[in-house]
Amino acid sequence: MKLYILRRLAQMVLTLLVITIVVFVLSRMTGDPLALMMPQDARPEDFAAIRQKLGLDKPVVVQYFMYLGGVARGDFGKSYKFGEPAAGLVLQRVPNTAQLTFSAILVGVLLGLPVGILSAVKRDSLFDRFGKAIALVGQAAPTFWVGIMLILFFSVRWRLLPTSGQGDWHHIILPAITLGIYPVAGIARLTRSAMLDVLDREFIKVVRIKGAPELNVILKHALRNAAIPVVTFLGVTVGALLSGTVVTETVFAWPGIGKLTVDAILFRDFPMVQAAVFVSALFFLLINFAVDIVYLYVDPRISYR
Amino acid sequence: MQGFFKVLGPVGALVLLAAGCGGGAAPTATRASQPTATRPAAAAATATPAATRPPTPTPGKAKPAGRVVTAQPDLGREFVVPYKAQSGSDEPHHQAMYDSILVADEAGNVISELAEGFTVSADGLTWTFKWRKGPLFHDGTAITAKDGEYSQRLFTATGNFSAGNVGRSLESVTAVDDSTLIFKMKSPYPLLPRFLSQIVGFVIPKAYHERVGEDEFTKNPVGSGAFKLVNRQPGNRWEFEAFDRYWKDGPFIQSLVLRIIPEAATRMAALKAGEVDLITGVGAQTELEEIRRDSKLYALEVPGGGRTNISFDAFYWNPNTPWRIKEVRQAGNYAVDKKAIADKFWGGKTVPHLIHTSPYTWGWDDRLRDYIYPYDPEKAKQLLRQAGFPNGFDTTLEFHGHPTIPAMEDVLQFVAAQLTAVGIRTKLFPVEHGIEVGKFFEGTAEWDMHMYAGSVAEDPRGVAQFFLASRKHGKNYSTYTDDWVDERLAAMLSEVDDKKARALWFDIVKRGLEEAFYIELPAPSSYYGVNKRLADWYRTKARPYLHNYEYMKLVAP
Amino acid sequence: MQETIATQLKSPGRRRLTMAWAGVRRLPILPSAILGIVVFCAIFAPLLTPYDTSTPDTGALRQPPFWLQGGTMSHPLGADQLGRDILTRVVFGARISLLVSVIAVFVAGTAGSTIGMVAGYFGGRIDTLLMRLVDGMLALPYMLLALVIVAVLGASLGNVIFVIALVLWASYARIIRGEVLSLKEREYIALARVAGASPWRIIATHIFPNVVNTIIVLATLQMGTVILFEAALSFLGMGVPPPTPTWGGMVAEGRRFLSTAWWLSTFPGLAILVTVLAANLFGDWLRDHLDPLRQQV
Repeated sequence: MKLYILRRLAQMVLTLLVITIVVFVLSRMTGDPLALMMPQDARPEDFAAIRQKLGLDKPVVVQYFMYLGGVARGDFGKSYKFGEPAAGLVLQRVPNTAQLTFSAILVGVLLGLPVGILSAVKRDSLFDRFGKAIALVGQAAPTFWVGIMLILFFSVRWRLLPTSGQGDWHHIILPAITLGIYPVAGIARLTRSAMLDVLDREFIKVVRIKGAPELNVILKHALRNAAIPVVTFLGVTVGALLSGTVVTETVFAWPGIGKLTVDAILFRDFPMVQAAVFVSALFFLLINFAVDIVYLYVDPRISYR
Repeated sequence: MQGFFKVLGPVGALVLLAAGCGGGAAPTATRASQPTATRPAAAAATATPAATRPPTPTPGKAKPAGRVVTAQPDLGREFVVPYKAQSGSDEPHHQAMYDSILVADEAGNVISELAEGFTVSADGLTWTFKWRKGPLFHDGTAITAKDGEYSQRLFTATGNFSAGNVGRSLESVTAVDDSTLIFKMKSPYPLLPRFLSQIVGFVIPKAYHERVGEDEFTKNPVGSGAFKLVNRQPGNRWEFEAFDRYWKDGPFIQSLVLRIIPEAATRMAALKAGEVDLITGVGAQTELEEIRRDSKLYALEVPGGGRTNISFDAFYWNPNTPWRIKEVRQAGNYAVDKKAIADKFWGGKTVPHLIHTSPYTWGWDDRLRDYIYPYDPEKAKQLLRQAGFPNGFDTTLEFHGHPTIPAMEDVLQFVAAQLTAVGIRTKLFPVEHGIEVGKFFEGTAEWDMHMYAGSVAEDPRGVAQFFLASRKHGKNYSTYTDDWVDERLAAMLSEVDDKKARALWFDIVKRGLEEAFYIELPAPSSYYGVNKRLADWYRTKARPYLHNYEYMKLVAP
Repeated sequence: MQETIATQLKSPGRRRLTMAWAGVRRLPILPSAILGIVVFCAIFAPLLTPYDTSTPDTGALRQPPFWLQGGTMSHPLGADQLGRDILTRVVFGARISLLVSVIAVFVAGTAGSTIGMVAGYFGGRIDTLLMRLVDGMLALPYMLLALVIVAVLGASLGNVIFVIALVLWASYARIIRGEVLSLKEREYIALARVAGASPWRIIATHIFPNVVNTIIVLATLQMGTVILFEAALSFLGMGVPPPTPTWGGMVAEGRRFLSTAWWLSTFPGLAILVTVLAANLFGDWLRDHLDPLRQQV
């Protein structure tokens, strides 16, 4: 078991290393950052001077190892666009992205769980059929369209919530809904099937015979046992949402990593691209790793090899 | 083709373009006190230092009050130090915290700021700037000519950028004492005052910057402008507080927040919801209509900020392109309904922009209006037949997204369809913007035409050589070129006599129109969407990035 | 001789495949009808409308749908910011959007499932290597890939499909691998191995038929994902370039008119909503009818 965890950790480092190479190569394939950086009247000697200053005049392999050496010291270089250490700027935004992602998950659970439970309890009823369809709507509409519509109604027409930016808890509601309705269908579906599974089991029948109130049976006994697959699903979803936040961040001017990464790519801000991808990849891998460990405990059938 | 004007910043140049008919909706608000500065003498001969506003605030200066929040799609490079920034989208946050050597007035003329005035020697090589006494840095020390010299040295040492243009002809810059700054040029450079009124003119404290270095300065900057930086979240927001010992009458507002809201729909929503007081990047006619329908808002025009045209890239990479034939280029001009573009997409309020020159730039001459091509598809077809293309030909028009002025994408599609209608079968050629700039500069484009969409250059002399000079002298952003233009360009750029320079430029523009260097499109005005709690203030024409925050005043704080 | 024994052992996968075909006859009505209409539009688009998709008409800029003031039956769903008929573009958009999703899902599904089966069946180093690759792919922001492809190869319909397929294959690989891991411990596969069947043969005849249901279900569910993905790419300026009408592109282009001319992006948005919903319901139905676990319950 310990060996397995150690091995997984070693593999993770390897994956990260591969990602650094891939990102390094890919970002350099997008072209010369100086094209966007230099003023139109720059002379060839200006180009040469800046290139040298940024270390872009060296062979790519040398550049890569210099970069890797920096990463080992936690130094990702200075952003071309902001003139500050890229790693610091990325880390500044990590809490924002985390906040958005987890609020979205919360929305997903708050909407998906009741639908799933009710569908299971009232199996084959009208609710069971239509609840599924309604839950699916969140998975079927373009995120940015949903986001703008929410702003137009909740912020402009009814003046209930702020349009954009960061501030107190009001600010996160609309972005969290926009991002959070996507996993609703998945959560509802999983909850339903897990609940159906549990409700059929002997011990639930025993509890019922003992005369426990139905609500208690469902929420306390059944749901607790049905929670395991749902929780593992959430783990996977967090990862998926992490990389899908860019659209929501753009619509709501939410200062997260997604928008930062995209801007860095468009500006050819290599240090920023490298730092941002490294950090988000690290998070993604850590979450997956955690999910795998949870699996181990939850489902002993999986052999850890 | 956004942002080829590096002077204006690659992303930000977009923000300028906006449209619609304007001004009328603006409330007649009290206008902020206009600077009484007389205009420094034009570059020609020796000039006496111009006397300007009092160096100390008027007694009984009002206490700044209230908070103004502005939202823009982007703030370009968000450095704290000004010497790494470029003019254009990089400017707003720097303007709030730094003052510059010179500045532009409402009409776009260069006037005094930290320098009270300047003189230029008869040969046009030595410029002497007389420094103003009284202005203070945010740490309370006096701003002197020595700081001016230091800042200028940083601009040139950084290889920056907007300063490259100046730097090319600059021999030395020296502060002989605290109140005199002397620029010595290698060759006459009439554009110097203009450049010192842009980002290149910003001044930072020598003593502090020398002591702490750039990294610490970035964390704890000491500025020279009306506002102190109090909080900065790069890519998200900059927050400023009024500097209470500022030398002008302003600032009138206590706190200023610059927010970045990339999505146009969200920006508009934030304005309508009253969360922000001013939005830039107001583009399409529909947006202006929306602002006018809202009784709490008004649209504020910055005249003549934009510029669009279509240039023939095939000219420099494809020797066999039909676009090398004059009649074909003229046909392209006749094929496009400029009035429809002005009315349907830009809301009617546009000015002609001809070979980098408009009524809002240096070098404009009303006689140029006679050379504008009217919309005449029949004539276009006839010219095509004459040029040997009775059945038309296939060509490509470069296309990339314009996130900050999406209406540009509509205009592009419209132009492509109009060219196609006369037989110039135009297919959009999608290229990512960064790639496009690189290929254009290197001369390795694979598309036949591209549309430029950016801001106007206040003085076409600042950009002419990069857009019109032949590529055989080095890489640049020109498309159509010829020797005739090359010769006159060189002569004009070193011409000290303004009249002669204008005459030379007139000839170049006239030839440009006759030869159809470009398909010229109408240049729209730029607009801000403004909440009525913010009164109309002192703005600078053709410089939509110059917000003059120190003149902003709330109607009721 | 040994081989015949192996093939005579009828694998449950085969049986399930025949059952699947039987089930197809009892398709859910509404989702199938919607998908049918979409496919019909995609195939017969040019016959359904008198307009073409790219010619502007300055006389009809942002004309409202017929039931609103200023609307006419000449543009039943109104016209867009260039005066082009929205209904026409939605109908033609079905063609492009369907093309994108079918090809992208097919390519991603084929590549991803093959890799997943290989990784799962062979295990060991191959598995480790392939799965690290999958991890890496999933951890990489898709925008970086999209931009590199757009930058290096240029923006086009084909490249958009390529980007989407490149992003999607990894999730197939991971899911199919998981299934194969438990499958290969089954007796009949062990028997086939003992009988001397080659690994490729086992994958083709015993593994594949057992995971094909999962692949089909995944593919159906992914159709919707692809349409939304294309919309997100359009939003970020990396989608299929204009004037080609795609639903995602139309919603993205029309979003700046949402408060002044809502019909520009709402109708293509509805097309996406209805189609993705139908695809998902269809996928759910398929899962209920094909999923082996479900049948045991």
